[in-house]
Amino acid sequence: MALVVAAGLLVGYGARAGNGCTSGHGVCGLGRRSPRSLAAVLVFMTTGALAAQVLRPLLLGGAS
Amino acid sequence: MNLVVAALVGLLFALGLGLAGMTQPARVLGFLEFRDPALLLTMGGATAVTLLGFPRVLRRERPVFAWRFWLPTRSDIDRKLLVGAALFGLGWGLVGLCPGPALTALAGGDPLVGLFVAAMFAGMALHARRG
Repeated sequence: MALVVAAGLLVGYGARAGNGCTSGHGVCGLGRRSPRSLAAVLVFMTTGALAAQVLRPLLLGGAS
Repeated sequence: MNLVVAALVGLLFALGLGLAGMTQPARVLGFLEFRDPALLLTMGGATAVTLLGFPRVLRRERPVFAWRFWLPTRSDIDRKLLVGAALFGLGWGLVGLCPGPALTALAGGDPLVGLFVAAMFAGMALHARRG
């Protein structure tokens, strides 16, 4: 539950601060060949993989 | 924008997200853990459509269902963009949900999805207050 709340806060705040989300930067921004969107996509793909592979197992203590 | 058009476009987007598996956190986590590359095709397919389609659409003087285009104009990569994207990615990878699919998944009635969406709006409000 706490994990879901923390993740929601991060996604909401991050999407506003970063001016976009997976659809906005990923699908629309890349389609417009926007350098800002390419940078954002590379960053959130990296931190997303990091969170899923490292942070999540750490926080959940092995139980998924 | 015409409300009917907006509703139809929203429905189409939601159907696409649902069919592709984006609304299932387990699928998204599998993708981010590099176990299941299928969502790469989703993203690649969607981006291929916009890559090919947007230049054609933008050749028009104005959209079919609106009086003008609203397009982002900035091209500088600043700290705020990178920090925001990094935080967004962390949240996305922690539970496997991002804004569009989370709103779509609300229809499934899972209370955890509702909690996520509530927290997401709180995060947006927090950003608005901080300016």
